[in-house]
Amino acid sequence: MAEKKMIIDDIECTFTNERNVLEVARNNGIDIPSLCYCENLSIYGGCRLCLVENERGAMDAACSMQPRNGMVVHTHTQKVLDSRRMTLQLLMSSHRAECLTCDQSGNCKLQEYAHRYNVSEPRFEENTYTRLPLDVSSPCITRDPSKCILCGLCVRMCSEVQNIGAIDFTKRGKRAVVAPGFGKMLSETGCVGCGQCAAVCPTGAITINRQITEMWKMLNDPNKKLVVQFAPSVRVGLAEQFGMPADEPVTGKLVTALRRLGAEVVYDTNLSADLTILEEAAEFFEKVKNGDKLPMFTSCCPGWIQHAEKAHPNIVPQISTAGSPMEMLGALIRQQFKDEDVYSVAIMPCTAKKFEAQRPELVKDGKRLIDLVLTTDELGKLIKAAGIDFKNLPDSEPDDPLGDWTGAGVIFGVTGGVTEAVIRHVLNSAAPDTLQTIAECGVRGLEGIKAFSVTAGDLTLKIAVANGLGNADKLIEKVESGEEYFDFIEVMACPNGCIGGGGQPPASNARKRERMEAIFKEDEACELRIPSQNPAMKYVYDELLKGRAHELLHIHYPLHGHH
Amino acid sequence: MENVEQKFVDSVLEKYDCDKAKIIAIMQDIQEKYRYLPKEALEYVAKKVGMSESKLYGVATFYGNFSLDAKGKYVMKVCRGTACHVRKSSNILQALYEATGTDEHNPTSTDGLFTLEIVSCLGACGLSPVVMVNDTVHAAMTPDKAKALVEQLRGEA
Repeated sequence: MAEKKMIIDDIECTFTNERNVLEVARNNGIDIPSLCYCENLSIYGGCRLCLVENERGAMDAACSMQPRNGMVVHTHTQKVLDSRRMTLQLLMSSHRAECLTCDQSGNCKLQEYAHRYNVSEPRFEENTYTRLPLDVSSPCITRDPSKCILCGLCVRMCSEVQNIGAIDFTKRGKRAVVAPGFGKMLSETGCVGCGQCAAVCPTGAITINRQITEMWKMLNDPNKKLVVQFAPSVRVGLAEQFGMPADEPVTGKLVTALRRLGAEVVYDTNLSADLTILEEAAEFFEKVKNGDKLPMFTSCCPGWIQHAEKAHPNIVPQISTAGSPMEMLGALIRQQFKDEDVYSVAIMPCTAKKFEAQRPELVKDGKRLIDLVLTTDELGKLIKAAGIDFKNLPDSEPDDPLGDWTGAGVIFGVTGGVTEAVIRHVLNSAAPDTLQTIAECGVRGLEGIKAFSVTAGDLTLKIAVANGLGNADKLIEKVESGEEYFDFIEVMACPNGCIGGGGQPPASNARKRERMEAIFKEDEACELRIPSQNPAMKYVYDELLKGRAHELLHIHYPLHGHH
Repeated sequence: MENVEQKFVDSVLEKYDCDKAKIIAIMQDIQEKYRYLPKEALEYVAKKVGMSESKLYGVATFYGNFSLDAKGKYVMKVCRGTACHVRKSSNILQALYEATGTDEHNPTSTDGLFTLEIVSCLGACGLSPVVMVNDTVHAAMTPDKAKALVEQLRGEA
């Protein structure tokens, strides 16, 4: 597309197909403030912070303005600044500002803009916020309507991207509140706890349930053996919290940091990702052999499992019973330290994992497999609170004998990764050109839905990969209507997979792309890249599982039915 | 659906092709029958037209004309517009509250007969003060006439 030019703040800005003036400005290094705009969602134009002034002195919202060749706008005239300050003062008058203790403090857009635009004193009485109670019904997120500024980002995320619509604008005027319908609690809606609403919330109106206090208690308890595992995508989400580039994994530093915090044993969930592949692939071929109904769906993502249970109960029997990598490593840890008082912690990119860990199905031999789930974001806070200089930490390795992993495990962190690992396992060749062929078969990339075929021997498999629950719903509709057929479908609830998980520090699309690159860098740096090469697997099956693999590694949710 | 006939809701949905663009018309028809929007009916409609419950609830609570609370057999709209106000409509409202046993926070009487609503203008200022009961306009009201009206309606019920 031909490059066009417009003038912003007397600077010539080039653009091609940007959807609004706001994007043109940001791509050209001019930051226009906005509270209700997100590049992945429809345009709302409600917050009025991105107003800019044109040559004739008229003001309009940059997010709703189509860029035209030769257009001229100014982003910080006196008129614009006055308007912004007024808008912020009005928003602040109906916002319960408890910035010293608010979870969002430091990341709050309203707080940032109040400082940036020098809103020194409240102009209106600060008493108009709603006094509705907190919604603490979800194990993953908390809703506090008194901090809501009605930007509607969560509403659009939940309906447009996730196709759930758990919350929406209700009532009107000063009584307006973003809430579930009929005064319900989040737990009574289709909410799966993916945390994407919290990721886009500019204030502290929707926050992740933090369990840092519990973690400190356990870190300081001398009677507990603290065993910590961390998921593939944590290593690419943590770096930016410490001012490091997002396109390099920080695995070694992460292990060191966990040890310094007080973890007695540290494992990489990559190990059990390898294990998941072995179990899931075996289950798949068993289904093929038995002529069971296909496609088989993946089971690693707790948001997806819950969505299937709530919205597609009829397809749950087609979801693999292989436990998630977190669950599997939890089971191995319980076997490894059978007679010890272990407290098992999982660091996850995910808010829905907090729910998964609490499920009654994740109890084996009378014990919870996972005691506590912390998000990447919470771990970052923990490291800061311990005064650890993360950036300059030396690298170290996970503990033996469950410390080995392959490149197939780490790619679980990005959409398509589970599938790519399955294909590597099925083709079972570590030859570089085979790995290259797999990488180029259509499985990689951040598109919402990918569909392709893979041939293994005399078997041709039709495979689809979806990320974001809205995309999963589209795919399922096509499968159920008979329009398309697949043998295997991977679903991750969050856009782009776990690299964009609700428990990761919120990130732009560009940042998520860097995280994806970091994941593949980590994979390529591995000597071993197919799951069956993992040297720990023999120990796992022979010494720990001892014939109980199915019993300990598989999870039968109620809707799975009897096997 | 305990309080709602599914057959009736189905017929309304059919009339409007189960089209979510016609959701307001669908809700109007349901409200016409029940005098309010029963929660069960809305949950059913949401599923049928493919809208989220929260969105439908949002539409229903946006418009003042929709009610999610059950209303009495007689909905009394007491005009508190300027013309009615200067002709002492506040006394009429008070008299109606007393006669029906309702108040500002509990606008529907416990026997389910009366619901009191305050409206800003009924466009009948020449007849002020005005009270509208369902579709009938009662002109030039006084507190005594208001009480008599309540008694009369109670007798008819």
